[in-house]
Amino acid sequence: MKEFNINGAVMKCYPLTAAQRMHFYTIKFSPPQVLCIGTGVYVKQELDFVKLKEAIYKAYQMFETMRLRFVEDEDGTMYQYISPFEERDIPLNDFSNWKEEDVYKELSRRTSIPFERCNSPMNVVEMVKMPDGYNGIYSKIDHMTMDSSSIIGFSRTVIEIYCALVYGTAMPKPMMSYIAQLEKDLAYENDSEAKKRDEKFWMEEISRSEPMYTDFAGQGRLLTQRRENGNPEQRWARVVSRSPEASISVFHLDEYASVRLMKFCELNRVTMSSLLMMGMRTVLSKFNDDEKDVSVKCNVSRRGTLSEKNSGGTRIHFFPLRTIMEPEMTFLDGIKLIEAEQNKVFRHANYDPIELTRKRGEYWKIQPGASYESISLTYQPLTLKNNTVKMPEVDYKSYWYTNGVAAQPLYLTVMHRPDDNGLNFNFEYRTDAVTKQEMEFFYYYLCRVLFRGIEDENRTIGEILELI
Amino acid sequence: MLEKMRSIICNYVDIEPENITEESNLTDDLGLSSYDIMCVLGELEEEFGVTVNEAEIVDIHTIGEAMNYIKSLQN
Repeated sequence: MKEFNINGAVMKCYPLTAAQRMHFYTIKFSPPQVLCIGTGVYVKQELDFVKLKEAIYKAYQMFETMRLRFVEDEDGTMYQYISPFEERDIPLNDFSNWKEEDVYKELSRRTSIPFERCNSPMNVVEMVKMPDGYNGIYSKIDHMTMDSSSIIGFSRTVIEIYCALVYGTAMPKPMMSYIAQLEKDLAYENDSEAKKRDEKFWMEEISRSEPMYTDFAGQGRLLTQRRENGNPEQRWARVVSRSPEASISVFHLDEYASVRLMKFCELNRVTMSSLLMMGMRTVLSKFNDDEKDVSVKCNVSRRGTLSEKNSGGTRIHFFPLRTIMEPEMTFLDGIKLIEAEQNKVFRHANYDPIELTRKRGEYWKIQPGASYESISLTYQPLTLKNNTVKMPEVDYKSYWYTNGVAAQPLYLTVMHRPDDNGLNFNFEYRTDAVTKQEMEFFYYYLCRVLFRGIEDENRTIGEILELI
Repeated sequence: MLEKMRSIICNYVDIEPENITEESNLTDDLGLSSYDIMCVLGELEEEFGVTVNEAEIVDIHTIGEAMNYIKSLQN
């Protein structure tokens, strides 16, 4: 912890956590990255914008991490502190006479503008009048301060406070202390026994055997790099590039099909994330000559305790989830194997992912920017809609706006739609690494695997690979 | 052991301890995610001096099953 004089006040400033350093290194070493996450939550009814502004200010006071700022010391080391108040104006944007697609483009454009890193607010919240009678808020928040879980929490809190002010419902419960949780996280990183146990686990995982890179578009990338490097046994591939331009495509799985997946999970007592992971790794196997050894990046939100769930911040860590499956293994057994592997990852998920990537690269002597995973999966069961608020039944719309860049070739985030609980498959892809067609192809085969698998859980992986 | 489990689980979900029984389903009744469950088991490992096997716990769904599993490891 260090003290800085900021605007005449002495502020206690803390080092960054591993989750924050992950994002910081992205912008430092892979420019021009943008860390902004844009969201919009809109309801189809007239809003009292005076009360909504008041609700937003109250939500800022509740959420310390919405007032989180950064400062650099003379050596360029970044620290963080909480600014006591949010005093900026909260404007109202009137897009009511715009076309919806133009509003989406404009808000995506705003999301692509990065924040100043030091001594600057790391978010923007604005009130919005949308076309077709929808009204609500647009938020742009820096990923070094918040992640999807805490952003959803903030949006819900604004709505809860608004309802309390307008309808007399209960105010939301106070948040838990971000600083208290931060101190726990930093204590873990400071050579704790828990960290030593996690490090031992990950070193054993790394040294078990070398994984195999499997690409969502087939073997082309790996085979090309094997030729370029004169190494026919190469098992890794370079995935980063200097051009981070990205786009998002969203596929909406209808309610009936989504419910079939959820019922399968309920009946067989497996998690949705392990089902989705099984689908993904089977498609990767199919596209890579029925490869048995498949790794996918698994994003872990690390929100277990009430303090972790309710203190805001950015906590996502990513880890490789590797499985080796024979064709004789059944679909359900494959899901259970994934759950067991995922549980191991969860148990050791506090470890620094950047440190793990570095150690793995050193151990297997792979090039900088190389990986064994081409795609990452996040399953987000929370929605931006607050189902606990006693509000008149209204139509909701919610959006996640792209900031136009990505560090990895392909991210898949699967989220529930707030209105019908159907699933949206959000593919964020780097436009220099993935074509829209390749991504659509991947989604098509993912659905084929999932529905062939849940049709008969005793179907083997080999049978599914033949059928699709 | 039930009291200890109640105390640990109440750090993860906002629930009255008396509402946690041996029959409580970890996900359906208590609202624990698979990440929560792994964290709870980690704390139980430390509390009871045992080591859980990730492949064995995929079939644990209730508090009672978790307690029986921990007891089997102690034996």
